[in-house]
Amino acid sequence: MSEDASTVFVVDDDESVGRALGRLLRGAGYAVEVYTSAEAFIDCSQPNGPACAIVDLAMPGMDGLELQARLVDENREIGVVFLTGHGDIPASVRAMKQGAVDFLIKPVDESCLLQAIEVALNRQQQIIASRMQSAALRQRFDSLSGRECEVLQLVVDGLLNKQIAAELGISEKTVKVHRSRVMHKTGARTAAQLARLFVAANTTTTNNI
Amino acid sequence: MQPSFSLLTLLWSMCVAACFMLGLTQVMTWYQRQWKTEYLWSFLMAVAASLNALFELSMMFSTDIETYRGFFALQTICVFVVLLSLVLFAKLHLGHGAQWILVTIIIVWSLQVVGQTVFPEGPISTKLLELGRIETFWGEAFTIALVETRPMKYLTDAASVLILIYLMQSSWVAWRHGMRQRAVVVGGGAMLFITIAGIHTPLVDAGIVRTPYMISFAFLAIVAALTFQLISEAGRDRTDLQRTRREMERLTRIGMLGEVAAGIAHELNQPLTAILSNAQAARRFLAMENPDLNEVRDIVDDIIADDKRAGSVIHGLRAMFNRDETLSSDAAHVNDAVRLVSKILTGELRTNNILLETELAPKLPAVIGDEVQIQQVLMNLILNAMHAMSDTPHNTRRIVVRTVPADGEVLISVADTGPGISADALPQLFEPYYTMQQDGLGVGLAICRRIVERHGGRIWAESNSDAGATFNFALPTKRDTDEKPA
Repeated sequence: MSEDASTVFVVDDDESVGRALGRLLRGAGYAVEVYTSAEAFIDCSQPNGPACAIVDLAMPGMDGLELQARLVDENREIGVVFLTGHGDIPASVRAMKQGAVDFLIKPVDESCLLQAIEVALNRQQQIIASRMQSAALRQRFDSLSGRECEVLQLVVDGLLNKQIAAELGISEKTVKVHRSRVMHKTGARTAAQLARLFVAANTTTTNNI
Repeated sequence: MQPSFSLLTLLWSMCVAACFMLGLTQVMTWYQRQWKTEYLWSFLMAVAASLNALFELSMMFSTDIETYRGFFALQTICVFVVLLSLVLFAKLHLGHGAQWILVTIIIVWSLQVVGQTVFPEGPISTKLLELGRIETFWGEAFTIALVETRPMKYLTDAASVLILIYLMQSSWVAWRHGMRQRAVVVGGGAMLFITIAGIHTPLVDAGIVRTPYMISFAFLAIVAALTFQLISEAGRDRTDLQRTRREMERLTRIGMLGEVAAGIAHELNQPLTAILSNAQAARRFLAMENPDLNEVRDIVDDIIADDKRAGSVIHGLRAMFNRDETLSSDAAHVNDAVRLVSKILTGELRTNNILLETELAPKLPAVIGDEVQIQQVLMNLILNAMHAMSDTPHNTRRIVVRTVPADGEVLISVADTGPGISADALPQLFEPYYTMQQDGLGVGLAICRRIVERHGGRIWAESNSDAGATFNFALPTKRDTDEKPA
């Protein structure tokens, strides 16, 4: 599987349904993995690229909603699309509150299914992109030396060079040197931008953006 | 004088025996009808009619007036009991007539009985003057007393008329309520024969008709009419009851299927989902430049299998919905029944997060009986198990259905992992209207028991040592049948 390949998981205890959905999605060009129980799916390896799971709501043992809650708990970035035999309103409300992408009724037409999968994968793509962005930023901030970090902290706090110098017990000139290095390494042009990048780098993006 | 063969003795003895036998027949029906009071009266009437015939016969062969008088008094008592029982029977069986008539009849006849037994020479008795011998037309002599007819004697005749009026009223009530057969057979029969006896007896008393008293035969005819009616009604009731029971079983079954309708829809939805996705996948594969025909072939195979799967559920449902309820004594295959029921219930069980496991004995002999009814019992037990586990954590909800061949029977058990059954509930489980479910009617298990017992089997429940309860039933196997491989 290549780095960016989108994976679609199908979790349905009915083997025949799982097999059919698997074929359809492979036919539509996705990498597909089919599981016949929520437990088996939970134990599967974490995908590299964006992923989504087509999950049957009612299954013996762990059901669809429990599986979704597990994924949220474990911080696993997998968009969930529910499939159900009957439109159960309380279950659909709970599913959407837990962050499900869609709630589809069986038998499902390919256009609805593929659309929901696209939405789910796009959302995962964005999450991954923003996470990569903040990872890159964090890398830039990580390259700062100890003294530069101290200066950065105080700049972000809104202190003037003079105040920083007094705070750290160094000359204002040295502060200026450190500060320009910080600006250079992080790519920020103004103090305000520096502050924004600093915040962005320290925010770990989870599911919703 | 007396011929060695007495036709009179034969006829009257037969009358005694016939009345008595009819009475006994009534007792047997009476028992089946929960000892309804009207049967007490008809039984009493049969016994009194039997004794009446006996005393009539004794009178015919009395040689002195004192003996004759004694039998005459006893016979009068019997007639009183017969008429009173008849009127009370008519009141209960046909309908109420006027109360005053009833009271008058009782008073007049009581006076008559007291007069005849205690004061034979008193004003309201029939005074016996002397004995005479008369011959029948075939030449057999018998004794009969010459009686002095007194004005007070007409009271009894008046009472007979009142009895007729009362019977007419009763019959009319029965007729109006649509009980026409009763009105005609019981009411009409009684009126006819009382009229005949009521005309014949005074004619004998007056010496106009020279025959013995023949009240016994009139009574025998009435007793026979009553017995005929009561037995035919009991028979009809029994068939009605059976039909009602079967209909109730069918309705319960349809009720159960209704309860799991959502589950059945879900179960049919699965193959439909697979068929649609498979077909759309096939369309995509075929649109490719070099379609993988093997893949397409697999898809078509799957579509066929799923279609058959949906079809088998629908086929089984149809059998459970419309079925005339005559117990077919064909060979029924328990494993097939388990498979069909689990197929029908898969959706419902899935919705309730229940895992259904089946452990079916590979070589199970066929049982005698009706597969649909066995399916009903299984479905009832599995649904009960499902309801019992509504508070059980999802991951431990499990139902195991096992079939085991035992000595001359097949054992079927349904075990759950619910809370089990308390010891004091165990003996009552199969009683009608006993229920452990909040919205249960308590008829399911009672019906299960009836079905199993009709098949000559038995059903019982027990608590499991670890968790939950197990319901078992055993059905006798059909002899000389080939074992059907599972």
